Amino acid sequence: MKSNTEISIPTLPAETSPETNFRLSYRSKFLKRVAFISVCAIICFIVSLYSVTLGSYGLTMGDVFHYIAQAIMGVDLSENNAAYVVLNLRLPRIIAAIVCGAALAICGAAMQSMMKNPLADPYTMGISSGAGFGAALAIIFGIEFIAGGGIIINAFICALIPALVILFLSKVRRATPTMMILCGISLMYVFNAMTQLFMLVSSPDDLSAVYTWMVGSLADVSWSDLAIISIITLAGSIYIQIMANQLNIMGIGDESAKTMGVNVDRQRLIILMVITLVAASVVSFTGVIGFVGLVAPHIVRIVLGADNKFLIPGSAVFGAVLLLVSDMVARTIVAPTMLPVGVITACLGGPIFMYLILRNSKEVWS
Amino acid sequence: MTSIKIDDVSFSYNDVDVLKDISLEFSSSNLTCIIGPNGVGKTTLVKCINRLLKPNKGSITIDGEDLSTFSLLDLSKRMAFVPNSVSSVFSMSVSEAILMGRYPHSGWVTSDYDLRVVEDIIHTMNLEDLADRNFRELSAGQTQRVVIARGLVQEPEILILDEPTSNLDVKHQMDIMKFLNNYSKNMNIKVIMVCHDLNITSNFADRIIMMHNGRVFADGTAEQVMTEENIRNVYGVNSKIIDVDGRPHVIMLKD
Repeated sequence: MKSNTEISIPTLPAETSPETNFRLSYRSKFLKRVAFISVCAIICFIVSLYSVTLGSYGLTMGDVFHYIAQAIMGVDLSENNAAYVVLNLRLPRIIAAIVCGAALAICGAAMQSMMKNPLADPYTMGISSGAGFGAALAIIFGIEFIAGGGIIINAFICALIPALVILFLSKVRRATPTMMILCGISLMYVFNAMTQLFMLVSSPDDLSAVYTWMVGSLADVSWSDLAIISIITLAGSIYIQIMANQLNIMGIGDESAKTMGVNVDRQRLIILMVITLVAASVVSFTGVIGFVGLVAPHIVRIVLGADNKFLIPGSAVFGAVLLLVSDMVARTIVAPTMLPVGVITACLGGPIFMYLILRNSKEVWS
Repeated sequence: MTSIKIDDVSFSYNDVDVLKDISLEFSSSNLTCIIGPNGVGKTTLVKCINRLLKPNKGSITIDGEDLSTFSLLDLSKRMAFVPNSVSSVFSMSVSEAILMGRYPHSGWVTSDYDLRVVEDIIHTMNLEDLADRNFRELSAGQTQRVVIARGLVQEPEILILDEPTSNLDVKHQMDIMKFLNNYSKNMNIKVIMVCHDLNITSNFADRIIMMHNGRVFADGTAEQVMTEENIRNVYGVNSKIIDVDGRPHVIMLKD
């Protein structure tokens, strides 16, 4: 019987070794993880179909299928009210919930791994406050960076500022995770202060518009908006998924990562830019939907572990479900009034999150 | 066989010269220990070898190719590094932590071969019982073994360790030193490590490089390097060297 601390004399790797515990358990874990992701994806699909039938205009699943099928086949439905509700009011909103939820959760997951900070999410980088500042400029003063671009372009451009500042600073000195986060937070304060200053001098109508924008809503997302968000999100998530292994390695410390062949400093900046682009495209159309980006990755980490290869897709489907359900609640809980979805994500996500933290005796992060 | 040649290397942090005109060659597969007092440039030297730091002057070559021409990824296929402390914010299992070391070779897809290499190392380092444990819940000695295992699954030709045994007890230190010595010969790799304990070094190292004021003070076998005079000159303490089983053993004297 060998003691646990003793290290045996090296043995050369055998040409073929029998399938043993480690490889079996790796495979069963792999299957478990894929199963979780698939189940979430199926739930997401079912909930979204159900969600289309909800609302003041009564519709059945059959109607929904009928109109979607007809629209796909190119039947002209422009005179049909029910079809209009399904195709132009509910569907874009529901798909927006799925895409935005997935996008924000992926950004959060990548951000946390890369910064080695469990509190990091796209908004910690000042993306939301930047976007809010840009939106306020447009709403209150009518200033547009690109003529005709309105709130969306303004919000998008300002949301990119923190990332550009970090990029610029990294030319001067090394951009460490701490520096990036502190930089994001200080910009957040600056932007928020400016926005509040604007709000002081604004008219009540403008104030209400800025406020609505700041809590986030999926109500105004159109098909064409959705196309833009989806393309950017898809491209961004494919890139982040390819980088999943590098994200894992960044988590073990910069020196170790470099000696494992990851150019940490450069890679961190590139991933930050990608995340910013994705988050900014979501935020500028929907306003600031909080909490999904922070909480979804943590909940998924409890189930799947910290391996980004699974964490990224897992967070994506979970974030989609979270935002979808939140939006469903937001649409129906005090119908016909529609609440901003940002309020619901926080109210729903907060308690779930706390329950999971308390229930889970094993620490998943520190 | 891989050979590393350090030619006239100097390094300074801001204006402080840490390494001065160091020339060394590593050509045989064995366990080489770098010793010397604190702040003498041991860690700086190994970090120059694995390119975490860039020398101000001189060159380091691997098989005649200059280190700066390698990409980080190419270098990581040939050289692994075990830092003296590790941190991990998010939890992962021990086997996942070791599997990370396969990154330079495998990239995105984890192949069956990757899993087999990991499995072999887990077996070799006797980590079976820990494989499913949480990496962050291990003791210092266990963590160190896992980090060494992670370095070994990189299948390096050169393994560099920065004081891997500094917070381990005597038994663990000896186990790791004995293991590394055997491993370097069986697997035909070069193991270069920074070490503090003179007697453990003297017992297990095939070659000892003693550094003093940023220069190589002595270089050779334990008998050649561990002398009363060298220890007095480098560490400024008096000692008595006795012979234990054919190896020099250092006894520190009070004055």
